[in-house]
Formats: sequence, structure tokens, C-alpha cells
Amino acid sequence: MNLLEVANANAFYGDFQALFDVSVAVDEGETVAIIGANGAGKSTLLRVIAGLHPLRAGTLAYDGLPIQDVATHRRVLGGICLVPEGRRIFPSLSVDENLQVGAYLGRRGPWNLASVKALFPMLAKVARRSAAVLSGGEQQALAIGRALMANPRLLLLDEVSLGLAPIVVGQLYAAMPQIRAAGMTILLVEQNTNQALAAADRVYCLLEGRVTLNGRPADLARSEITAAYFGI
Amino acid sequence: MVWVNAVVQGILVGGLYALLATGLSLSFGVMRLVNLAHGDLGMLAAYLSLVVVSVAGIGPLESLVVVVPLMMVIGYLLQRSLLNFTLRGEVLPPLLVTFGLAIIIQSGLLTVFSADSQGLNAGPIEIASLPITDQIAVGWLPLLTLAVAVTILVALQLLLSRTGLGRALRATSDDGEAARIVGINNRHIYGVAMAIALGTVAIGGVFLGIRTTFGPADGPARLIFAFESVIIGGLGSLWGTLLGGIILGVSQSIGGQISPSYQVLAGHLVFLAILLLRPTGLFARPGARQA
Repeated sequence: MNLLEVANANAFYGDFQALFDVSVAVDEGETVAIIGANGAGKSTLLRVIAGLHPLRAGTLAYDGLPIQDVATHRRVLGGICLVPEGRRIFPSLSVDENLQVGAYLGRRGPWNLASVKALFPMLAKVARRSAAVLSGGEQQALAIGRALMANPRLLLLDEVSLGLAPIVVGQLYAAMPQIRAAGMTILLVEQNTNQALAAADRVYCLLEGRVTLNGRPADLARSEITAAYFGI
Repeated sequence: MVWVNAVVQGILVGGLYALLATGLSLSFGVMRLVNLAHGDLGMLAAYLSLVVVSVAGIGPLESLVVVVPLMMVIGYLLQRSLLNFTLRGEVLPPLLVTFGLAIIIQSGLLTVFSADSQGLNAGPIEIASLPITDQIAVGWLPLLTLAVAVTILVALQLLLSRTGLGRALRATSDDGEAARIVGINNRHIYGVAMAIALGTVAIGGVFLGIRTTFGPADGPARLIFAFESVIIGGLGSLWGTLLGGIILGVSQSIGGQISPSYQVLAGHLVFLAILLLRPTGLFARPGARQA
């Protein structure tokens, strides 16, 4: 059964329509990537799923239940955790406190301070430091770690690679298999198509708010992806 | 020696200002809410104490056991049922709503308690004093006020830095949307912050009522001193608020020593000078995301 099912989602910013009848389904345990150019609506879709942006029309089902009217913090309680665009870590909290606040709702599972720091050793070294002084890569690791602390069932990753050096992106994606190992379902958004194709079981391509392509990376030809990505 | 005395008395009155200002600082720090009714809510607490004193036959200090929890409940409900709806990112709605609330509280107090000045009688402690030298004596009541202020600030600091609730408050203050992402119900957290804010201003209001007489329209004048304490100390810093209260108290006390008519003016002038020289206040908290 699909863990997440987005059907005919329409979302707006004022009069501007960001999503047009977008349908996306994610199976339990699957890693699905959403690729697309800047402004294609990828982040909006994740924000809709997390409950940060309202759905004007369409439905959103999680674990078989409609959740479009459920508040963000209740979705977290149900196991939907977002690693937001721009990391959005808490600057006046230390690294450890950022992680602890991630466990605010106390969901049970394999992730805790020790296991997150084992996954991202770079965080262990700066545990007591203010999160505001971290490097971009450390901040991104912290944002992922903070979401893991809630022991999500569905992890939403928004632009993990944005603004980071390739070597750092490699380090972060290297953690992916360990995160998936416990059966976590992941929906990730990437501008970096190669990274997304390598990490995902299935991809959706968004173009100007519409799904233009979906399938398994192995089944998709490069030219198809390019066409869906750029609309040419 | 009169100057030393002025400074000592100023420091003590600073404790009262800090009590009145802490909640203002907290509600601005956590939810960017400038509560224009904060002073009036302090006066409401003083009147509630008056009622508890006359009904239960206990002293005003003992009445805090009832008044503080009551004000905390009022704060939580007020935030959840009204003020949360003003926090949509715009600056004006919270100002207008709390301004209206201030007027409602003042009119309500006027209707129920009349315009007569009231006072809370705490008994002999009000005039008892501790002689330091033969020229300086500190009153037990101002000393108690300062001690209570420091105790509350220490407790609040511990709450914020050591507990899960404190982390949630700081996280929500940093970035309300990111707080929702980690599962914090920011509306509840705002309610808790307002409960704490009104709990502290309740203590301030009752101590104020013991120290001086008060009337239904006294809130705004108290609000100004609270604002000045917060701004002098720097937004978001609890210790800054205490220091701001003390600086304001000492300035007023020294001004009053020069000439009684300079008392309030001196406080305003020092406030303006600090605003000019250090617009962020003395202890502005670094790192926090600006709204």
C-alpha cells in the first residue's frame, strides 16, 4: 500500500498557481526523488505534504488516512518529518539542543543523540557549539539529524545538496543507505539530477507545477529526462 | 552619602521594573508580540489581589498563591483564543488588538472598582527597614522585591536553558515555522509563553500595589518603564532586562535627588541616551533570527 498518496494537488501563492493537479505516490520503504528546475514547485509540494502550505484542491493521504486538514505538528507525530530548504536550524540553540528539540514529540525508534552523531561524526565534534557558527555542510547534517531524531516514517528532504561543495554532498548522500536500512521511506527533492537518479528507486520530474515524467531511473532515457526537465 | 543612598534605592526599585518588564521581554522574544496591554494586565493582577485579600482575609503577598496561577491561566487562554490570531506576520494587528485590550481592561477596572486610588496593605513589612549605615537604610519590601525579581529571572533562565519546554520556547523564538517542522505546536508554546509573562507581571503588579497606590488607568505609565527596561537591556535578554530595570531605577532615583521634578525625566533621558548610543540595548541576544 502507498504510504503517501498525493492526488491532483493544486497549490497557490496568492493568485500564482504553483502546483497543477500533481499526483505523487510513495510506497513504504521506497526512496522517491522529485527533480525539476528552479521554481518547478518541488519545494511547494514538500511544504504541502508537511502541512506548511495549504492545498487549494486535491487530496493528501498518509497511511490510508486523509491528512490535508491535520496540523503540521500532528503530522510530525504521525511520522512525517521535513528537512526544509535552507536547513532552518535554530541558531540560538547548540548543536546538541537542535538535535534534542528534534525529539520533542518523543517518537520511538532507532534514532537518538548517539546514533545520529554516529551517522554524522562531524556533528559529534561540534556538539556543544552554537548551531549558528556551523559550516553549510554541518548545518545540513544537523538539519537531517534533527529530523531523524523524531524517528520519522516518511522523511522529506528538500534540496540537501543546495549550495554545498560536491565532496560535502557526497558525505551527506553516503549516509542515505544507513537511513534507509531501518525501512525509512524517503521523498527527496533535488535540482542535482545525477544525485537524485543515483539515490532514488523512482523519480518524478516537475515542470512549471506539473508532473512531466515519472518512472524508475534505469527505465528512463537521458533524453526523456532532459525533455521533461526543461520542457523542450 | 545621599547619592549612595539614591543609587541603592534606585537598584532596589529596579527589581520592581524588572518584574514588570520580564513578561514583556518574553512575549516579544518568543512570539514577536508587543503587548501594549502588559501594564494594564499588571494592574488587573493588583486588583485581583485586592479582591482575594478582602474575600479570603489574607495579606497581598499571600494572595500571590491565587493571583499568579489565575493570571497564568488568563494568559494562556488570552493567547490561544485571541492573540494567536493576530500573529500572521504583520506588525500592526498585535499592536491594535493589545491596544484595544488595554482600553477594555482599564474600562473594566474603572467600572468594577471605580476611579478611587487603591492600595494593598502588606502590614509592618512595608515600613520595616534594614539599617546599613547610620545614613542608609534599605526597606525590607524593596529588598524582597529585588530578591523575588532575581529569583524569578534565575528560575526562568534555568527553565529556558535546561528543560525541553525551554528548548521549545527558544526554538519557536528563533524560527516559528521550523519549530512546527520538528513537531512543536507553536500556538500552545505561545500560550505557555504568555502564561509565564502574565505570571511574572502579576507578581510585579502586586508588589507595585503594595509599594504605592494605584488606579484603573495606571497601566500605561507602568508599561513605559517596562518598555524602557527591556530596550535598555536589549531585546530577548532576561539579565539585560534586570540590568535595564536597575539602570532606569538608579537614573530616576538620582534625578529625583537632584530635583523631585527630574525623577521621571532623568529615566527617560538615560533611556534615550542608551537608545542613541546602543540601539540594540546593552545585552541584545546574538544569533536570533530577526522578525
